[in-house]
Parts: sequence; structure tokens; C-alpha cells
Amino acid sequence: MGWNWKKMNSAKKSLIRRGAVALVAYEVMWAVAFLWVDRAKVEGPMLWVPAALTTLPVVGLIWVMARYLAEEVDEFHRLLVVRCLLWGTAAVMTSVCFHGLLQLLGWKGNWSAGVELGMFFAAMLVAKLTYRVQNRVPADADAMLGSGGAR
Amino acid sequence: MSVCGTTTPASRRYQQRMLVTMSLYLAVTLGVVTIVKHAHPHGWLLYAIALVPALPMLAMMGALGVYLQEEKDEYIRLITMRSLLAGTAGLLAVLVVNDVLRSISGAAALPAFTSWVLFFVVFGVAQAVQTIGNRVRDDA
Repeated sequence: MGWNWKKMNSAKKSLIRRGAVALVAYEVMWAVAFLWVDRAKVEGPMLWVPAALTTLPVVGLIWVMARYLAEEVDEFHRLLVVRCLLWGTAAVMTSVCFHGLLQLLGWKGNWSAGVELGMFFAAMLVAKLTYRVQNRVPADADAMLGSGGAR
Repeated sequence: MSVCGTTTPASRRYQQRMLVTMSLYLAVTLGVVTIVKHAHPHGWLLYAIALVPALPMLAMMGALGVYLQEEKDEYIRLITMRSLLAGTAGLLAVLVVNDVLRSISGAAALPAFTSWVLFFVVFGVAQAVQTIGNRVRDDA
């Protein structure tokens, strides 16, 4: 049940490839936005332009997941990805609610930017690992399934 | 959840669960604000109290997860999955714009209930758009 590139189906390979591109694009856009604002001294409503541009790779990442869900033929794997997505979204909603409520209740602190997005990926990763451990098939069962001995 | 004007047993159960969790969320939030207003807690107690309204919110997402597992109609499940993706995309897009603005111009963080409202509004709109887009005429 290890991470084996050769044994992965094409939908999962595409998900990993496209996801990696989206994440790299996000990092690049973030750096470009900062450089642009720093060099060009962008101010006022123009600040929305670099902010909106940085959003594109994140929306792209969700599109990558949508493509995966459309391409994946294994219903079980599709359900697991949707569950991981739910955990990620729940983590984002919880963190925004917690932070906002703390400020509403008089807390003077402020979380650094990017915490919520980090929570999203961390929750998705933890959910994925948990489901992998939970649904582990013992090696001997794998072998029996491979030989057609067990159903 | 009614998609294409149809309600399934799973969607009825989902609606009931959402009604309970939403009522719980409102009650808990009001309770928390009242407690803080009168007792003025701070430190770890304040953190703990601020975390409580997140629990019904998690329960709402749990209800959505259970619904996706219970729903037998493949098509309705697909529409719900797409709406979930749209809701998440909308939420993350707004968060990233806010993150960048906070980093480069010191803008304020999103208010407490934005994420919840935003997610379910986009979720509902996505569902409505798909339902209208896939409407079959009576004579078809």
C-alpha cells in the first residue's frame, strides 16, 4: 500500500502533476506580487490586481481537483478525496471563525497571512494519511486479491 | 437538499441535520458572546470559549460528508460534489486575496462569520446554476 508511481492510475498521476504545477505557480505569483508592489510602489485600488492574480493558482488547484474527480473511475478513491476536501474546508472555516471571534471578543493579536491556507493543506494531508492507515489492506490480503483468491 | 426538484431520503436526513447544527451554531455563538460580555474571560479561557462555535460548524461539514456517503443517486451526488468544490474555491479565493492585502498593505483580517456565509452562499449558487442548467423540459 506504499506510494508507488508505477502502480498509480493515470487520473492520480495527472492530479499530482497538475497539483504540483498549481502550487509552484502559487509560490511564483506570490513572489511576483510582492516584488511588483515593492518596486512599483503600487497603492490604493491597484493593490487588488496582484492580490487577485495570486488567487488564480489556488482556483486552478480546485479546478485540478475537479478534473481528478471527473477522471477518476474508482468510486472509493473519489469519495476519499471528497472527504479530504471536506476536512480541508472545515479547517479553513474553523480557523477563520476562531480568529474572527477572538478579535470580536476583544483579542488584540493577529494571525499572520497564509495560516488559513496552511490549515487547509495540513487538514487535507492529515485526513488523507488517516484514511490510508484506516483502510490499509494487509500484505497477504493484497497477494490473495492479486491471485484472485479472495473477493 | 433539493436538487432538480427532487428530494431523496438521504437529502431529507441532511436537511434535518443541518437544521439542528445551524440552530446549535446560532445558540452557541449567542451564548459565547453573552458569557464574554458578562464574565470578561481572558487568556486560555478566552481561546477555549472562542473555539466552541467552531464545533457546530464542523458538525455541518460532517453532515455534508455523511450525506455524500448516504446519497444513492449518483447524479445528485455529482452536483453536490461540484458545489462543494465551487464553495471551497470561492472561500479560498477570498482568503488568498485577503492574505495578500494583509501582507502588502496591512488590511484587516476577514470577520468571524465570513467563511461560513461565503461557503454556503457559493455552494447554494453553484447548486442552483447546475439545476437550472440541467433542467429537462416537460415534453423532453
